[in-house]
Amino acid sequence: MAHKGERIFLVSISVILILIMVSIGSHRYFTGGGSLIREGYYWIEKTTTAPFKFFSNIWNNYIYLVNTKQENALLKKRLASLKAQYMCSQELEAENKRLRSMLEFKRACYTFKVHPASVFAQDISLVFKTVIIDRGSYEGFVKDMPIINPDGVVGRVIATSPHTSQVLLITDPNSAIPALVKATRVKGIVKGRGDGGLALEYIRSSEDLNLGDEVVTSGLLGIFPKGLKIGCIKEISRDKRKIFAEILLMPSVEIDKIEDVFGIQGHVEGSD
Amino acid sequence: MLKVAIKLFGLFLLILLIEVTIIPSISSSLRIDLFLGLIMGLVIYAPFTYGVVSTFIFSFLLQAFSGVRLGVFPFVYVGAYLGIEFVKDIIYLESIVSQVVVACIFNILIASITGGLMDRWFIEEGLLPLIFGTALTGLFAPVMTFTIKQLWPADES
Repeated sequence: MAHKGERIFLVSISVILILIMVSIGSHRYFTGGGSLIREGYYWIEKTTTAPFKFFSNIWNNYIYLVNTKQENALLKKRLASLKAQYMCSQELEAENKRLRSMLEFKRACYTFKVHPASVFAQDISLVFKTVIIDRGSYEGFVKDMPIINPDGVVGRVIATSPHTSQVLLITDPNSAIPALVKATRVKGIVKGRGDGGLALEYIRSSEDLNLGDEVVTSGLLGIFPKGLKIGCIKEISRDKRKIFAEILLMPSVEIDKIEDVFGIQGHVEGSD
Repeated sequence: MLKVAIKLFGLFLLILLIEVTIIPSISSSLRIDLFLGLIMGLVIYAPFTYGVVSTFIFSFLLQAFSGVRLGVFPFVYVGAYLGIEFVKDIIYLESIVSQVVVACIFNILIASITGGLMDRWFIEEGLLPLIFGTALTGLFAPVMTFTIKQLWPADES
C-alpha cells in the first residue's frame, strides 16, 4: 500500500505532465512523438498479421480459384470496352482543353500522381473520425495531402511518420472542404457532422438546388483538386428568417467501409 | 518486476491490436474499451505507483491512435484510475458483477468527458453503438482484471 505522501506526489506529477502535454499539444515539434508510436505499431501489426495474411493468400490465390477462367474472360471484355471509352474520353479532353483556352477561362490544371494505400487502423475514440493508413513520408505522403478512393473524397492527411499517415475523414466535424454544386456551380463549404453525414454550408436560401444534385470539390485553397466527388444533396431546409439554407449531403464514399485509398501528390494550379 | 512489466506491455499491445485494427474491421462504429478493464485490474491487483505510472504511459501511447488533443487520454484514463481507486474503497470490486457495472459507468464517463473536452457530443455516432460498446466493455472488464491477476505474482500485489 503506498503512503499518502507518495500518492499525492504521483497524482501531482501526473497532473503537471498532463498540463504540459495539453499546452504543447498543438506544437508541430511535439506531434513527432505520436508519429513514432504509430510507426512502431505499424511494424508490430505487420509482423503479427503476416502469418494470417500468408495463409489467407494461399487460400485466395491457390485454393479459392473457382470460376477464375470465366471471370478472366469477362474482365478482358470489360477492359476492351474501357479502352474504347478511354480513347473517346481522350478526344473529349482535348476538345475541352481547346475550348477552354479559346474562351480564355482560367484552366484548372492538375499535375498530380496518385499513390495507393490501405487503411490498417481506426481512431480509438468514438468522437473522432480518423484512420491510419500504411503509407507515410517515405512514400511521398505529406501533411494536407488529399486522400480519395474511386468513389470520391475520403479526407486529408493530418500527420505522417515514415510508413504511416493519419487521415482526417471528411465526416469529422473538424473537416471543411470548399465545394460547389456541379449543376448550378453554387459554392459553399462541406463540413463533417460527426454522425457519418455531411453538411453543405454558406449556401443562400434563394439558390436553386435540388435533391440528388452532385457536390464536388471547388479547388479553392489548393488542397483538393477541383471536381472530386464529395456527395449528393439528400435534404434541403429553407427558413425565410435565415440567410443560408441547411443542406445535408450523402457522402459518395462509404466511409465505414473504406479499405483501399489513394493519396494525391502534386499541386493544383489555377483553381477558380 | 521487470517480467511483469514486459507481460503487461505485451498485454497492452494485444489490446491495441484488438482496439485499433481488429474491432474496426468488424464494425467501424463499435468501440470496446479493453484498456479500461486493464486499468481496473491494475487498481485491484497492482501497487498504486505501478498502476498510475502504467496507466499514464499506456494512455499516452494510446493517444497516438486518435485525433484528440495531446494530453486528453492521459487525463481521462489517469482520472478513471483514481476514480476506480476511490470506488474500490466503497464497494467490493473483486466481484464480477461490480466490475461489469463500474466498467460500464466509467466507459460512459470517459466517452462523455473526452467528447466534452473536444466540444463534441459523445453520442454523435448514435446511441446503439454506444450502448453495445459499453455493454461489451463491461463484459470484458472481468476478463481483463482476471488476466492482470494472472500476470501479477501474489506476493507483489
